[in-house]
Amino acid sequence: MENNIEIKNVSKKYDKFELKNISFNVPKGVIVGLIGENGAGKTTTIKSILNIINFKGDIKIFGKDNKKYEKTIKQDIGVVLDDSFLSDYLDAKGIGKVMQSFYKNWNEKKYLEYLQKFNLPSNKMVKDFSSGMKMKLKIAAAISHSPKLLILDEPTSGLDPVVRNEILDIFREYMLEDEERSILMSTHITTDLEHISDYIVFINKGNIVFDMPTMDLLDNYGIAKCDEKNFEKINKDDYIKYRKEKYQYELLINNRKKFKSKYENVNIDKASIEDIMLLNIKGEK
Amino acid sequence: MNNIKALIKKDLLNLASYKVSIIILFVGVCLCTLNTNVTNLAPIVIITMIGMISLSTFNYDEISKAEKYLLAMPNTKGDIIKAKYILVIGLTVLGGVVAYFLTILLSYIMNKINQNIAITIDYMSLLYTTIAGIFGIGLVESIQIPSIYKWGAERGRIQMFILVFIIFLIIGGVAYFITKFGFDIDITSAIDKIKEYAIYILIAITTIFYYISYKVAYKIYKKREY
Amino acid sequence: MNIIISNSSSVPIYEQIKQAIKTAILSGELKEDENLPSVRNLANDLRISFLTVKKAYDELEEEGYIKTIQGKGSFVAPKNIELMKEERRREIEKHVEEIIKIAKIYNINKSEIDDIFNYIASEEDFDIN
Repeated sequence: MENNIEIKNVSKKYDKFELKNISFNVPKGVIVGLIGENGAGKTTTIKSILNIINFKGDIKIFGKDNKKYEKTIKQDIGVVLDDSFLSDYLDAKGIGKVMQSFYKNWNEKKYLEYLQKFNLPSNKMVKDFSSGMKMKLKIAAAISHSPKLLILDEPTSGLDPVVRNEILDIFREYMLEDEERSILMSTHITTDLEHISDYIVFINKGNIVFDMPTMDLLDNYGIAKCDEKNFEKINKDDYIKYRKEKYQYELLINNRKKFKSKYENVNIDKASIEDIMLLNIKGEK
Repeated sequence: MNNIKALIKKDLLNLASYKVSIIILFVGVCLCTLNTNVTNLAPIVIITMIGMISLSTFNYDEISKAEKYLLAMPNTKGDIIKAKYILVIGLTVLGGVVAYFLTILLSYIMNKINQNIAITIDYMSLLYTTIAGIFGIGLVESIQIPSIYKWGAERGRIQMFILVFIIFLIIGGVAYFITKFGFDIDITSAIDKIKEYAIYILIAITTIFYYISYKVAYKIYKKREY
Repeated sequence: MNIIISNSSSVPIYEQIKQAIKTAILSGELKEDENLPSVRNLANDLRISFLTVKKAYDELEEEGYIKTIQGKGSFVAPKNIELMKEERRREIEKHVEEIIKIAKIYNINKSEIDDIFNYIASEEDFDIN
């Protein structure tokens, strides 16, 4: 078994939104970033994986069906949800006490070490925490039972860059402890992913647009900029999408090297994940 | 089973963050009711409070948006519902037991302190009201829980007040009609007659209500999505 | 060993890592049989995907610079003198090509280039013989 998560043909229908038959894997030992606009289907995907909502299709975690073996599987998953936590009316110590009774492998010592490392007060109610502190507490609570898989929904949203970097360091450290571990994180802060993710799955309007190594995206994708005259000379197969701006055309390219050798007088830059996402959503073909 | 314990533990610890104010409230209520010389009132008031407190754990969960997180942990929806029912029933019964002994204890102390007042307690009648209180409040709770699952904790609570209000209104209305039209009923003897069986009727009704309540709550919650 | 990664460079990141390690090996900074950082650790320290480091290591192994032993990690491969020489030559050739390209653009002939070469060589104490 090479994958910690296998998602096959998962669909979910809401009144105004539909997740359409999506499939992707989270291999062992990697960090997968799930990107897309708000409402694109990231959270729905995560909720399906956690079997919080009813969905159609097949999801296997650690090789086991996530509905049939829900409880056993979840003993080995750590979860951080953007807008939901155990209780706002407990202090960090109380949170630990409760978490301990949920997880067989809970390591109280480790948890207390994390609290200390993250500079979290142990006797202040969660509701009085700042958003950065609260997120760190959620993470401490999610990893103190040494899960094999971390599922994170927007773990860095609303946090300042310093805290965000601290949090990304925590995830890196978590990954280094055991090579079989994986992280699946959804985010709309794509710059975070450039430095941490191994794969990126891009969801738009309930469909998967692409699922590929971050390395390939950053090394091969590019943004070409040119005027109308040059744009007309460019073959349709040589770009993915284009967008007409006021003074220029912007083209999303998936092979910088090839494009450069073919169209020498067109300027081409590296594309950030944000560029790729934006042009995919807003661009035309 | 372990995670049901954990779920209950979470609720108890949530409530424990206000333990001091809860204890002060209890003793205060007891002292007030003892002074009115209607000692049997104390258990009823305390059980009602406990009932409301146990239902307030729904509020804690709602404000913390805990349910989604709980479902992401090794819990099923069934576990969460079971834990809530055990907690609410358990706390209500416990509240009754505490109220019973607290009333006795406080009246004893007060008699010692102030020789001018002599609070006499009819233990049987106190026990009777306590049990009636447990099952009476239990009945209200059994209606409350599914409606909280349906409409949320805040609206559920408002509903509780409306429910209690309606019950009083009905009792008041019946009493009004009886006195106004001068039905020739000897109320005291009628109550005495009912009293013999009332407690059994109440226990039976509450048990049936809880059974239905659990089924309904489970059905509602099963469909709910976060 | 220094590995400096530029995100704005058009050179792919795995290529940059490859170059840095190659340079360290060719300059003798990394000695034969010396242990290289593990893929995970290096990726972690550089804050990039481990797949990028893996690609760099794989290609270095293919080219004979390093060898990887399952469970033990990667080491600097025993030096293949011919390979090293070849690599060094190629490095210099690349620069010479660049010089010729520029010389062509500005119409500078070979004897002028020779003069420049000799002048700088003497300045830098480079032994021509």
